[in-house]
Formats: sequence, C-alpha cells, structure tokens
Amino acid sequence: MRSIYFKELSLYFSSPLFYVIAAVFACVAGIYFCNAMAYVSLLSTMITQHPSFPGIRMDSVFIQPVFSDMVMLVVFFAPLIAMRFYADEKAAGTIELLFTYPVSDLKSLLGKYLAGWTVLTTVLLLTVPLMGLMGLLTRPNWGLVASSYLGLVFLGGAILSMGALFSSLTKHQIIAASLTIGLTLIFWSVGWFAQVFPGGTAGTVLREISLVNHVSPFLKGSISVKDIVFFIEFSLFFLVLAFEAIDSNRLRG
Amino acid sequence: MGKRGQDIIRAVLFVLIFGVTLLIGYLTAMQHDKRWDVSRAGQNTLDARSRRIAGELSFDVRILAFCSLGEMEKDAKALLDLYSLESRHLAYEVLDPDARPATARQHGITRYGQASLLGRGRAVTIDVITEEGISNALLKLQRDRKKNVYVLSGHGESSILETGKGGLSHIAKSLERDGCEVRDLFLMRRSEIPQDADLLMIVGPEASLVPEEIDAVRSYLKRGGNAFIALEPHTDGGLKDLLGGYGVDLDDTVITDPSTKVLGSDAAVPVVNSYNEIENLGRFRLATVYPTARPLWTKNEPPQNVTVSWLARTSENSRADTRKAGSGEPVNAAAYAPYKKGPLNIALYLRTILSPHAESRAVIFGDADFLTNAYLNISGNRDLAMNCIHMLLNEGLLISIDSRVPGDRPFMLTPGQGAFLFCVSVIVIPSLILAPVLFLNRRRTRK
Repeated sequence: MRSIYFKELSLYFSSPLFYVIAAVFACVAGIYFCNAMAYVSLLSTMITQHPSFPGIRMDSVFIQPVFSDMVMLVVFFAPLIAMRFYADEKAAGTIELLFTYPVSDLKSLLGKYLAGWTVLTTVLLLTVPLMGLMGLLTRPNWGLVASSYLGLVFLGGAILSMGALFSSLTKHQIIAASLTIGLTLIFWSVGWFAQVFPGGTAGTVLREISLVNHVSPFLKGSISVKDIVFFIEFSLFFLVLAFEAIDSNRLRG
Repeated sequence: MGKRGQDIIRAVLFVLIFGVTLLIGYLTAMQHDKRWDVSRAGQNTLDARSRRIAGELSFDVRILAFCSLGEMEKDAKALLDLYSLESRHLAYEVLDPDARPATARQHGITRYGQASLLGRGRAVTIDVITEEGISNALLKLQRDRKKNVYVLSGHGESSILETGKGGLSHIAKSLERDGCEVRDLFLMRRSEIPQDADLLMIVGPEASLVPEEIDAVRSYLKRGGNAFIALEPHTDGGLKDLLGGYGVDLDDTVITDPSTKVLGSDAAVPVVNSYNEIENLGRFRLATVYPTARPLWTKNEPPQNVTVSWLARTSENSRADTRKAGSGEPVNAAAYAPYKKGPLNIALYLRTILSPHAESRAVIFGDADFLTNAYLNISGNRDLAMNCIHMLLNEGLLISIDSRVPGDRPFMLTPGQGAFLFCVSVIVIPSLILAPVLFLNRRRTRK
C-alpha cells in the first residue's frame, strides 16, 4: 500500500494538474477572503458611526463565511483530484498492469485514496497564509480555524471516496468527476427535504445522511464524535463499493 | 447459477452486511455522542444550568419552534439540537408558520421566532427562541403549580397595575411570564400574610406600616416565608426595628458616587457592578443602576441563626452622604463631608435557619426605584431583580443567562491596505503555487 501511496503522490506532485488545481483553489479562496475582509471593514466603519452598536464577532462575520465558501470549493475540487484514481489508468491502459502488482486491490485502492486525501489536504493547507493575514488584521479564534479545516478535510475524504467509486466505473475522467459532483450535491441538499417529513423517520434519515448537516458544526467550532464517525463511515461505505467495482472489473478482465 | 451470478450475490450481501454494521456503529455514536466546543464564547454549548434543567426532565416535552426558513430556522435547530442531546424526553420540530398556519394558530403563535413547549398537558409559549427562554419554559413546565407573589400596597408603594414610569407593571409582567401569579396585597384588610404566599414584596413604602401589619410580616418570616424588600432613602416603612432584629441597620444617609457622572447621571445614581457569589448570582456581571439609594449597614453581631451577607456593593468612590435626597440642592458629592466611604452595601441577603428543615430568606435593597418601569430595563436591573426573586422562590437555577458576549476589535482598511491584501491573497499566493509548473515547463522547453 505504501508503494502505491508514494507512487500516486509523486504522480500528483509532478503533474501540472495539481499545481493548477491548487493555484485556482487558493485564488478563489483568496477572493472569498477579500470579500469577507471588505465586509468586516465596512461593518467596522458603521460601528464607529454608531457607538451603541455591539462589537463585531469575527467568528461569525469573518471566519465562518470564509470557510463556508471554501466548503463549496472542496465540493468542486475534490472530484477533480479523485477522477484520475482509476479512470486515468483505464484510459492509459495500465489498469491490467495495476492488477498484476503484488499488492491486493484493497491496498491499491487505499493507497490511491490516501494519496488523493493527502493532496487535497495539501491544497487546503496552501490557504493557511490567508489565515496568517487574518491574524494580522484581528485576533482570530484559532480553535475555530482548526476545527473548520478539520471539517473540510473530513468532507474532502468523503467526496474522494465517492470519486473513487465513479473513477472505478468509467475510463473517462470528466464523467467520473461529473458524477462525483452530482452525487455530492445530492448528499449536500438531501437534508433540505427533511422539512417535507417533519417529525418522521424519513425526515430524520434525510437529515442524518446530509453532508451539510455534518460539516456545519465543524464550521461553528463544534467537533462531535457523531460527525467524525459519520464521515469515516460514509467514506468507508463508498470505498467498499469502489472495491467491489474494482473486483468486478478484474473478474471481467 | 453461474459464477458471475454468485459473485454478484456475494458482493451485494457483503455491501449490505457492511452497510448495516456501519449503520449500527453510527447509531451507537449518536447515542453516545460527545462534543468539544472550540468557539470563543462557548456558543455551541449550553449553560450548565440549562443542561441540568434539560437533564432532569422526567416527562416528555415537545418543542414546536415556529421559524421562517433560513438563518432563523438554522439557529433554532442548532440550539434545540443541543437541548435534545441532554435529554431523551425532549423532541422538537421546527415549523414554518406560513406553511402550517392552523398549527400556529392552535398554539397562539402570532409571529416568527416564537416557540411552544408542550408537556404534562400544559403549554408554555416563548417569544424568542433563546437558551434563556427555553430553559425558563422548561422550568415552568416542571413546576407543579404557579408560585404566588404578593406585592404589598396601601402605604404609597408603587403598584403592579400602574403602567406609568413609577409603576411596577413591567416586573409584574416578567414574573407572570415566568409562571408566577402576582397579586396585590392590601394588608390592612387581613390579619396575616396569605398562607399560599411564596414571596412577599415590599417595594418603596412611603408611609409606615401599622404595628399589626409589621407583626404580620414578622410572623410570616418566622413561619418560613420569603421576602423581597426595597426601601427608598429616608423612608423605612416602619420596618427599621423588624430588620434590626435580623441584623440590618438603617440610617438616614444616601449613597453618592461621583464616578457615576461618567455614565451621564448625577452622583445620586450609583452604578453597581460588584456582586457576591450567592447561589445563582455568582455569574452576574451586568451593571445595575439605582436612582437615590440608601446604604444598608450590618450589625457586628447578627442574631443567632441569622446569616447576613452582602449581595451588591457600590464602588470604592461612593460615599454614604447625609444630604437629603430630592431636596433640590445641586448635586456635588465632594461638597458634603463623607460619612463613610465605599464600598457600601446596597443589597443584603438574609437567611434565617428556623429548624433543621425550614428557613426563611429575604433580600433587601436600599432602593425601590430601580424596580419601577422607568428604570427596570436599564442595564442589568431587570436581570438582577428577577434573579433575586427566583432565588427566593427556590428557583435559583436560572434565570438570567447572559448571551451578551463582547465583540472583537473591529478593523478598518484604507484603500491601499485593501489593495495590498487583495494582491497578496488573490495574486501573489496563487502565483507562488503555480511557479513550479512554469519552472517545469521552461525546463521541458529548453530540453
């Protein structure tokens, strides 16, 4: 598994795709950061004109909006990282070669998945300088910043696992990415339909399988065992589906 | 069945069993959930008293929160989730009153943000979905009966029915909202304080109580009654001797505090922000304002079985002054010879042990105006008064949960600073990330 992990990592880091994804991610995150910063500056001006106005809570007007926007970036960028897990190998015709490696399909899958997760985490960490700028402007709650990053990492892991499934089903990377984004958005918005079944089991199930309901607490500074277990199990479930899909590919030759 | 069919069945069974195992794991995590709150003001955690109230629920409570869709709905859900984590007896629904008008009407909902708490066949409605509101409403549902608060009248006291500035209608309304029955007590018509009285309030009597009335108050306290007494300077309502028996001394001075001028009032309006850690007052941090107040002195040796504790104190800049309050003289505290320097007791807490299982408690304030409609909403006046009353009603768990967390330091950017930060975050950082690609491309081109 380790050899696959490092091979995948070296492939990612030697590919221009990673740098382009990281640069675009950082650029858009920078725009979101500037937008929130400008809003706080405007609010500050209003406060000086109205002394009775209560102070600004940076947690809710600065940090949370920046990370809420970054969540959407993860939703769209994580599938771009996951799309090449197997689709790339299929398109290049190296999938058979992979099956001949002296590593099991499960280890190969985990190696690729963990490498993708490492890459996504690296992309996220490239936005840390923005937090440094935030620290120059105000006194941010670093606990909330850390909790928000943790939420993004878990969410990214869940999306990558869906990406692994779709990447194992097709040889077209763009199809894999599109299907991953589509399914992510379904799991994102499914909680909104819980209102249709107030108080019922269906409503509870929809709420519980909604990704947004589990990532939001992280962005508010609330880390719960339940949410962590959800993301881990969600990822495991899709990884098992991906494993079965790879197994089926191998059997079909 | 071919090998392929068997493989498919095996795969489906494996995924199903694995899925069920994950589901069991998740349900277990839900039941034994543990949370860590890293927000600055503990915004994702309930106050310890709220947790205790929810945790002690022994009957089912259903909360119907009527919110508009959007932020209000999200905030309500986040708060109600915290409550439902504390008790399996608590369930909630967030409803859109526009989508469910009949339900809203049935529960007397007239605007967004109200909630109805249903339990024990009773309903309590709150106007705003806040932690304080929900915890208070749960407390009300837990009560077996309404608490009776009697407010003494007939001696020039402010009336609970008076809605003007000098009236007590606002505090009465607050008490009624908290599930108390507030009644006017004209003691001259009866020989004793009613047996069902949970609290007797004597607020600013201008004339003295007649000896029979004082005897009635005395016997009420001796039988374990609780009293909230607020006295204006220079008028003790004839209670001086009665209170003297509990170790409290009254004199003819008023409190002046030159430092309160900073807050826009004169020296005769002391501002207090020092409170003793008595029961639920330990967390009280809001300033309270007292227009013309008297100091309350304690005797060196209080009577046996009586504990006298200071409850609220003025600042060190305050003085007990012999000036006649309301005399019309210009206020200049420094011009008067100080009688005694602060901090001065402006509120005392008396606890009398009557028997191993019975006690009588009283809170005495050296001002009555702060309870009136004109001053009740100033700063923390209402909260302190309500906290004291609930403490006397043996509901010391609550009631004021201060959500006023101080804000962070604002910042304003000049156009130059804004442009610099924009360049760094949108251009410089992404360019640095792209630099290796440009370097690799250049090397490839050279090759």
